[in-house]
Amino acid sequence: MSLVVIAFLVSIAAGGFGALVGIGGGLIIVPVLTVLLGVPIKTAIAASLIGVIATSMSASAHYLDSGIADRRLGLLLLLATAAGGITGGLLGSVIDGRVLALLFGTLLVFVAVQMIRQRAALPAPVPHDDPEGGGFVSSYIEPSDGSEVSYRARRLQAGGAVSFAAGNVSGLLGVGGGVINVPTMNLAMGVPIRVATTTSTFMLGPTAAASALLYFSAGVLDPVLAAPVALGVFIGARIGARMSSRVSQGALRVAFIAVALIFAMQMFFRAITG
Amino acid sequence: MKGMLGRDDATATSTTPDGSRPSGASTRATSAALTIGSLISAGCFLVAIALEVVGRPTTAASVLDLTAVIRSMTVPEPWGWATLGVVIVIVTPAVGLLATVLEYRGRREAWLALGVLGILAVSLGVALLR
Repeated sequence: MSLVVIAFLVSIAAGGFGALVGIGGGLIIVPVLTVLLGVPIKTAIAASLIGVIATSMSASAHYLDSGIADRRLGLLLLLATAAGGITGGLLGSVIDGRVLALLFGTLLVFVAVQMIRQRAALPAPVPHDDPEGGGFVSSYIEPSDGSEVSYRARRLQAGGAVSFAAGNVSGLLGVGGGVINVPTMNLAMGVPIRVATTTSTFMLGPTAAASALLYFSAGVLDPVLAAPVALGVFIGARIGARMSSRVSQGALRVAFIAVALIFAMQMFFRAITG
Repeated sequence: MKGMLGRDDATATSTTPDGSRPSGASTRATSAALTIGSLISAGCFLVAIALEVVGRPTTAASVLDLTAVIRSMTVPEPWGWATLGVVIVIVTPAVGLLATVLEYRGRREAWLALGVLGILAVSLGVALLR
């Protein structure tokens, strides 16, 4: 079986698993391509970015139509994430592959620890009606019960700063950046989790596009590999989203934590041995 | 950023009661651009994978060489179709932002979308100059 077919199949699995756990496919597909299929890490990152854009494009169209994604907030934060995507893409295309492996391993450990902490204690609800909070007021229709939910997006400057960092991580490591954007919008800016996840998805496409251009020009983006990865992650994400209500989230999280830590160790090993 | 959003942002509600966010503005053009881009790129990727499965050879060239891309597509080879799909994927978010600019003409969202387009233009400029 050719590498393209294998990449297509593992990308479906990675996209599905990522959607089930709620972290996107990039965090899984890069180590899978690198560790299991022996693809150079920069080529894997570039292919993953194409998958991130494809998944974001398709999901954003739905989220914009449904009115859940906050386009004004998303566009505002996009100024920061897209700029971060450029610096991340520039760094990623020139930095040594072993350093990237080390950084990716660190990111996997960070996300795994975040998931362990989420299991231990759920975050306290954030008040959305603080009149002194600054920012701007918005609302959306909650699809589960049809009620209108108002909120105030606060701390826009801090959110912008963190978004710039998220764009850097996305461009540097080929992941969506949602692992940083979503908790920032939800916990620090007071945006409801449903709006935070959909707005983050809307932001991923242009952010990853800013980085992908740089990987493309650096000659590390292999279109023949990117094609099955993008299509596979896209299909897997749709399957995963449909299955998510039927699968135990607790068991999935434990599985992800285990897989992430195993991949992290292999990335660290790769960083040391080259 | 406060300045960009302006003083009235503190009290503005950007969602209509029916759930569509921009008061009066449609999201149809943006979501149509994103959906069409998704479908066309997925089609290109499918053709590329199918050609790879049937064992068509792949001769890669520079992605900036348009004639090489077209020649590879007409032969047909996986590389040409995959390259076209990748280019469409990368371009589509910019087309979506352009649609946003048109949908929100004269509003802050249009200026924000233009700003993001400017950043993407910087990225393209850096990519071409390397």
